Amino acid sequence: MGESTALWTLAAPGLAIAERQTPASVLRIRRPDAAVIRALGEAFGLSWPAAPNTVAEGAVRIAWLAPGEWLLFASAEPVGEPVATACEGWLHHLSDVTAGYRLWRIEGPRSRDLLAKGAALDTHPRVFRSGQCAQTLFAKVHALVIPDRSGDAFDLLTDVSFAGHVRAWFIDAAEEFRA
Amino acid sequence: MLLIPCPWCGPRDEIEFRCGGQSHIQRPEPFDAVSDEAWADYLFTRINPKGVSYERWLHVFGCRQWFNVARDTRTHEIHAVYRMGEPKPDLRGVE
Ligand SMILES: [Zn+2]
Repeated sequence: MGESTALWTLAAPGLAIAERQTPASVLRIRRPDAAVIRALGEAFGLSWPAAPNTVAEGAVRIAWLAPGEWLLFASAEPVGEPVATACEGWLHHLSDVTAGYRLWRIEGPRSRDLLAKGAALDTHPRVFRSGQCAQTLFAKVHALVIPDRSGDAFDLLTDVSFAGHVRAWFIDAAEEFRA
Repeated sequence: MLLIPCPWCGPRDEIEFRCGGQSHIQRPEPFDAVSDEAWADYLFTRINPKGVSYERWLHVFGCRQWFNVARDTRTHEIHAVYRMGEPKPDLRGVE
């Protein structure tokens, strides 16, 4: 995944935040069975994240959202064909939702502390680590949270319409780390 | 604040959920033979138990799935969580 230019950044001791545009598509399949899950995994060269709140990473990062629903970190264009082939015979749909989201990269040893200020989600590495994801309320906004392999970084996906609110929340929340 | 164990996401804070009221309500059939009383009962009558309440909850800020919760209205203790369509769990000795 090539990283796009940051739209907005914030730095504080032990903390770096970058806001980016990210390609995103939602795939929904009505009551998928093991065969279609396997076909999707083969098409994308990874183990398809069929278990709740898991993430798989190959050429495309894929996150479980709900039973039969996934977020693909790709626009619909490049994944349309492999999805259609793997889901042949299945009622499914793929929507490009790129314009609807913003991705926030939160890095540094204080990233977990910052998350804890905005969400009640348990982010302790014992229960929330790389390979998992969670949707929750963050700063009163619906968010998809994905922990990074490093253990010190998180990706947050929120609705684009809340970007201004989330920026303002980060500026306020990071203030205590400057003290 | 309740800690509600979503069948898909595990224990999450109550603020991520919405309560959808009493569960296991059966729509009376056949519709053209249902009396006004039975229809009104289906639409409006809800039990208000002191004890175990079987409720529908939606994990609105999570996986967006509906499921059932058996919650004690006296203590807020959650005795069971089970998926839509599943029968009421046997809670004899608790109720
Ligand atoms: Zn859930």
